[in-house]
Amino acid sequence: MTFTTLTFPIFLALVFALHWALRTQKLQNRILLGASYFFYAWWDWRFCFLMLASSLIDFLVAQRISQSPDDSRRKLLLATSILSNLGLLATFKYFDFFIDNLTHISNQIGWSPDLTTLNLVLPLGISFYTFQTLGYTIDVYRKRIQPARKIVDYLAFVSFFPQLVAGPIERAERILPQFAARRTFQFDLACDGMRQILWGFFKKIVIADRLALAVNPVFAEPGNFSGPHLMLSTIFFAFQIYCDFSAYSDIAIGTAKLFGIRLSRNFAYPYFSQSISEFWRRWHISLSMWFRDYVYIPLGGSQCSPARRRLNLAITFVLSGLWHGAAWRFVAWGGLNGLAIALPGHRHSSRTSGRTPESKQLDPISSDSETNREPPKNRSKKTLRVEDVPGGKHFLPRPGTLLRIYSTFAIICAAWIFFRANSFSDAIVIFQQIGRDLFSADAYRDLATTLQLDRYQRKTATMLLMLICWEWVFRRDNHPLQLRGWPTMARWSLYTVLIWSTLYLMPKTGTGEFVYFEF
Amino acid sequence: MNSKQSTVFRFAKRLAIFLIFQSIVGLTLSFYSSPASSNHYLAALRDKIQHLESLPDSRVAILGGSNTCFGIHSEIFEQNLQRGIANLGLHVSLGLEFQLNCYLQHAQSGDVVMICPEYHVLMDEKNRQGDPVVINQLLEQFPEAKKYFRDAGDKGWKEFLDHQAVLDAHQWVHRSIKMIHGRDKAGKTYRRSSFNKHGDLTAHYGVQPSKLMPVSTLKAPDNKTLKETVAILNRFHETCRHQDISVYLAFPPLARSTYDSSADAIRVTANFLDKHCSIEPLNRPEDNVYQNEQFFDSAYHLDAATGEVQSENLALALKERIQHRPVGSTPRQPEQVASAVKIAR
Repeated sequence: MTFTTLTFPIFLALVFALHWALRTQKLQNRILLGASYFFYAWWDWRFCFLMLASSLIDFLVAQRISQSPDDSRRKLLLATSILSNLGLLATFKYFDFFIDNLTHISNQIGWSPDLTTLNLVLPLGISFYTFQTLGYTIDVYRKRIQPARKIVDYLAFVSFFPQLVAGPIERAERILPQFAARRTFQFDLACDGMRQILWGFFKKIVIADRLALAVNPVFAEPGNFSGPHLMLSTIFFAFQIYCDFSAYSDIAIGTAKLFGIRLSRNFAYPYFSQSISEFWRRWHISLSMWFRDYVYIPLGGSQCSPARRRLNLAITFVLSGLWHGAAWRFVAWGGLNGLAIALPGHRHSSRTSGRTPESKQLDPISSDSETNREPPKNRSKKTLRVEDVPGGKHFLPRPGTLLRIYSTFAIICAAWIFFRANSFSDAIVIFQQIGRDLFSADAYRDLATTLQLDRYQRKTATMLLMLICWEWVFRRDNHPLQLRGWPTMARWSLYTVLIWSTLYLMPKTGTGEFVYFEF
Repeated sequence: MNSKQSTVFRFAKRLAIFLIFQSIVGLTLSFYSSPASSNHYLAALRDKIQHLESLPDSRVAILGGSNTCFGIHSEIFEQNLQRGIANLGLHVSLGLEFQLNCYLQHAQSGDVVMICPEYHVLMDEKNRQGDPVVINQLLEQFPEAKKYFRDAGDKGWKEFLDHQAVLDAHQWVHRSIKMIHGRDKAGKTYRRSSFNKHGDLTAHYGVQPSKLMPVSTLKAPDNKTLKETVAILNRFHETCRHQDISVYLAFPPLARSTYDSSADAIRVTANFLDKHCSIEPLNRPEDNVYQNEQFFDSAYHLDAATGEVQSENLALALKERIQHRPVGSTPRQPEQVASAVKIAR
């Protein structure tokens, strides 16, 4: 079931009504669990068993770990959990990639083994829920949390439908207590959830899906397009993936709020970042935090020599790239980002005071205790720390700030080429074309003519600019549709415009799948 | 009632008021959204179908893309053939399968059909199936046209909820807002009101031709594509034959420059059709090539005067074939029919 279908609001209304009609938290969790499995089964019911198996293994392993006083036994149990989770991922996501590469290398050295690929369907959300359950077991092993006492609470935490398919990747430490405690309906939270859902729909349907129509044909045959056209398409893709993925997170977080559950913030205006490290604190925050806590810090983090620290960063980013997909272009994407951060002289964002040394490199901006939490109702904008505002505190950015934002964005876009290209060789072709036409006036003139003729692209670009301006103005807020202090009439007028313009401006071919469903 | 329930009810009440407010906005839009009164170019299909249905028996239906809108003068056909004419051509991007299915839904025994598809729909699978954007535009203007598309039939409630409902809502809102604006950016020529009662586009008569819109050079299609195209045409012919309907094929008009740059592809296609298609052609591709100046705005859209010439030629060719024999079968050599049937299977 996808958010952008009629099925979803009907399903949500039913689950919402049932959930709040029940009086006990136990029954509410059962409803959420049943609804989550129904939500997943709508796509393919067979994979429910896979998710259930993965969840049960970690539930049982975590119980045993907490009961066992023997350290080596605890390690063995942890290894079981890690192997089973990574084994699942390896089988469904990486096996064919491994075999293809092995075959290629074997052929290069003149040996032709008879290796067959599995061609398995990638279960939806497998990368998200395996990381979530893995994080749970590791946290129990590290004694950061107690294992879940009730299996229903635990299964509901793993499969919670709003974030099941594309995150945010939640921590048991944050979510399990919310499932274990009695939930009360919070009017303001639910209203804010609805606003966030609306903003998510607008970003996905109006911006991301329209941009996809401009981007897809260019990346399908990059050799046929000039350098400036490829640059523009890369910029469009940067916003397409942002609007697509952050929209999913907005809808997920907003939906969870309707059930009184607060998920982690996953995006914090990443394109207003002034350095790559700041970007990674603002982009896909839950994944960055996961890699920081379970990969980067165990590798030694920044508590080691500069060379080793750079290596740790490189490993973490390459693994993060590989998490996105089994292809060399994802490795290159992760590697390029890691390189940009690890290079000596890279400017790190200033907001590191009062943090552990580990947190200086990969610590996302929204950790569990601060900006992640909804601002208290009576907390005014003035009480927010200036350092939290992306792009600086001034309404109009200073030239220096603007320059840093532009240069960060340029590096991020260069890396996106690897991410979006259909193959590694396509990415190289794109770089070559851009390099060839970088100073060609004719190529820019051709692009201008093309855009002049293409009314659809002009309209999309205008809407994109409006979105950037809107986000800039409201960048102090958790999401730009909080509209605190707006009179009801003004808010309702804006909602009405957003709802009907979303329906009016959606692509004629309908809405597309969320990009992160592939991962 | 406890406090939890009271806040839930407060929320539900607020949401209900909001939804009622949105419904009022929706109803206001609905007031403008009647597709029947749209003046969109594609909405002309509604009139064309209505005209076809209103004709007495022994009708002549002309199928194709926009080349038939511009290049066919139905009165000339009417005078020559003494039958009612319905020009169903509309837009090349609706695809070949649409052109054929659209007629089949309204076919009548005793009809004569002339298919005049653009080369693009014969040579490329995607073009043959149509462009989803244009198809959705048509459905926005004429929702009932869904039945003319193979994949647009009733797919059940799951498909409706998961896909179609949002698209329908978009089409409804889009149509309403466009009609409130009352605008048609495509200019005066491309409107529903630009057609005469037969379905010929007449608004460009006497209008100064504009610069020819470039038509991409056609690449010679592979055998598989041509086989599939011919199979579709043969199936259509077979269906018509069973209903006692005569079918003929006409190659479309083409501007000289486009013909020259695509001559190889056109020759390969015509030869393949000659060999394997069971439908009798009324002309040869080279018979219908005109100078660029004789076109209105694209390499397929003839100007009014040349449209008359083409219509005269095709009407005479058709008259020759249907005047001396009863409606129903088309004269083809037995070996050609055998080969065609083999391909169709």
